[in-house]
Amino acid sequence: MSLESVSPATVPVWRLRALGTAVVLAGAPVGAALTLLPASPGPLLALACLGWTLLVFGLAWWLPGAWFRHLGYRLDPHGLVIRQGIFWRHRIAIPRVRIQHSDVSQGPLQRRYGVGTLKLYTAGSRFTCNELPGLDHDTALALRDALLRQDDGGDGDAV
Amino acid sequence: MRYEGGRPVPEKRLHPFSWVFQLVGSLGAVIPIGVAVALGAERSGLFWVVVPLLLLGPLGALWHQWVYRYDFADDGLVIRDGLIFRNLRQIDYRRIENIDTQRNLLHRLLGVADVKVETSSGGGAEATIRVLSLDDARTLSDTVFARRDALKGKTPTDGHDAGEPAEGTTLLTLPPGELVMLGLIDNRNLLWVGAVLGAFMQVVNVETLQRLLGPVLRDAGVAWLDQLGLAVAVLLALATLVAVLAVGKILSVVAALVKYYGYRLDERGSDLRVRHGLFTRVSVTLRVPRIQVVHQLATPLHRLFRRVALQVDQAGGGGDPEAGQSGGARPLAPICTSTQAEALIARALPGMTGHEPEWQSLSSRTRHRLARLWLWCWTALTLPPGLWWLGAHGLWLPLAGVPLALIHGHLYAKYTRWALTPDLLLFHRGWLWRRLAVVPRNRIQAIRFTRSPFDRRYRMSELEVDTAGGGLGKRRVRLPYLDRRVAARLGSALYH
Repeated sequence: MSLESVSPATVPVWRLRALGTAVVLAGAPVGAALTLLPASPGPLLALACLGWTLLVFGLAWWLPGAWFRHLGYRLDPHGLVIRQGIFWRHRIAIPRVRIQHSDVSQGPLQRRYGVGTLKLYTAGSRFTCNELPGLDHDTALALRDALLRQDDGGDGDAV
Repeated sequence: MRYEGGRPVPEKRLHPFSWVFQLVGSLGAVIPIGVAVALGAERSGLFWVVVPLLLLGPLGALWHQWVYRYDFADDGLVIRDGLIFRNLRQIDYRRIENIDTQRNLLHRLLGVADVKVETSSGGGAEATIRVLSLDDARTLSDTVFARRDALKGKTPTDGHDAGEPAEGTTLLTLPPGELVMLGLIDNRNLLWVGAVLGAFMQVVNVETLQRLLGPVLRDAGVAWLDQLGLAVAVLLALATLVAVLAVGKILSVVAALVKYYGYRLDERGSDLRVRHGLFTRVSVTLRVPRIQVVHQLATPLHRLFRRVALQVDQAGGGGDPEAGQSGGARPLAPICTSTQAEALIARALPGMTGHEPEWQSLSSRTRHRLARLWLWCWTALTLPPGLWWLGAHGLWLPLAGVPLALIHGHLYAKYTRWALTPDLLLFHRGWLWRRLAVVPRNRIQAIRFTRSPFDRRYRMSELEVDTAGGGLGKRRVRLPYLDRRVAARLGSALYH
């Protein structure tokens, strides 16, 4: 029942993305506070700004790594199992015969680090699109091919 | 059907009264605005400028009727709309799941019907043909289903015979007595009455009421309201409440009688057909192979009358947004007895209900967890106002919630259970509002386990199954508070 982890090369991608968000999240309120409030900020305000910035950047550094450690998948004869989540941990099992189609996508940042996202679509209503991010691009392609092979055993409708 | 340069040119036209319904259907919302504009314009002497604008609606509707064509091609239904901006739509016969007709009072006076062509893609009807004469509608449905069966290589034995359709067996009819019961059970109108009354009281406040009713009351020898004793005032308030309840219930009984008048559920081949309505005749076809989940609901009022309600989730199909349903939910039986419900579930999921389910309960720690959860919520809600109003005595308030929390935890754990048969997953949830979901195992699209921090603390897992229909809101099939090992076993049984 062991799960494989995705490519470690994805952590820098997520970190860069998270840092981008962090700059906005920390910069906007701190900048607003420093410009709108009196010119000489009190020690309390300075401390709050510093604390907030540290918190946001700390999370931006820590979350991608933690997310990576908890992300895993397993390909078995029946389909694909994806596990993810740090606090709320989800494990979703998608039977191979239920997969309608699949995508392997790669953003510019992902291309730079050679990783990609595998998306599996089912005909369901809540979990119609299931993503497995951070795979090595070649692994993603191989996974997709492995999942799409032997696909003609079902009843053709998958509903 | 003829072809021009390889392109199909549909030739069948809409009913001559089509424009009336097109106008009502598409521009209904605009008419009041138009009237308002016309009135305003007349006052300022611009009436004759506005009239041509008002004529745009009927002219557009006539245009639509004039250019709209449909026909039967070899492999699909062809619909052409528009002449300048042409839109030619071809719907493969094999993809057509339902052809429903809908008729309100006006349709019935003129002997016509709205025809909705539905395919398995979600999001409502693929095409709405507004309107056809009844004969044309029947020809359309018979031709489409006959050709579909021919294309699928089936002999047309499952009820869609090209000739006179074979009458199926009737599974359920609802006599007026049942409809009255349905109206009494339904609480949705109560909300309306409350809201209307609230709004009314906002507009017509107490002073106005006193001014209006005061003389009448004085004449009747009733002293002024503030001179009445407290007991009488309470009595009056209670009487008002009872009156609101009674009016709400009467309204919902009337609504149920009008909406579900002559309710009939027929089985024809692999279809279930529902027909009902006093003014608006609704006819819905449920394709049995596409039924994903059957839900059975029993509210406290249902149980008082010993009845349940049945709903099915269908793959695709937009549901009925007017009835407040999302996704593919359709009522199978708005009200029936539990024995009838069992028989209907067996018809909706043929060949799957042979095995007696062995009910399994939730984790033994559920009571404890739920009681604690409720107690925390109760405390969070009552402690701040309690401390505010009662001071130190407010500290006793959380204790008052203990019995309720214990009872809820106990009853929820007692009545919530699941079962796995060779073909079905059954899940019964709740003790006050009881919901039973019956999911055929071969319809399950994906299985998801969730372990929240609380789940981890209590060594539990939540298991959710996804199907192709509905599955949103209350109709999600989500089994919470399962023992971790049990959940893993159940999940792998469903997955393999």
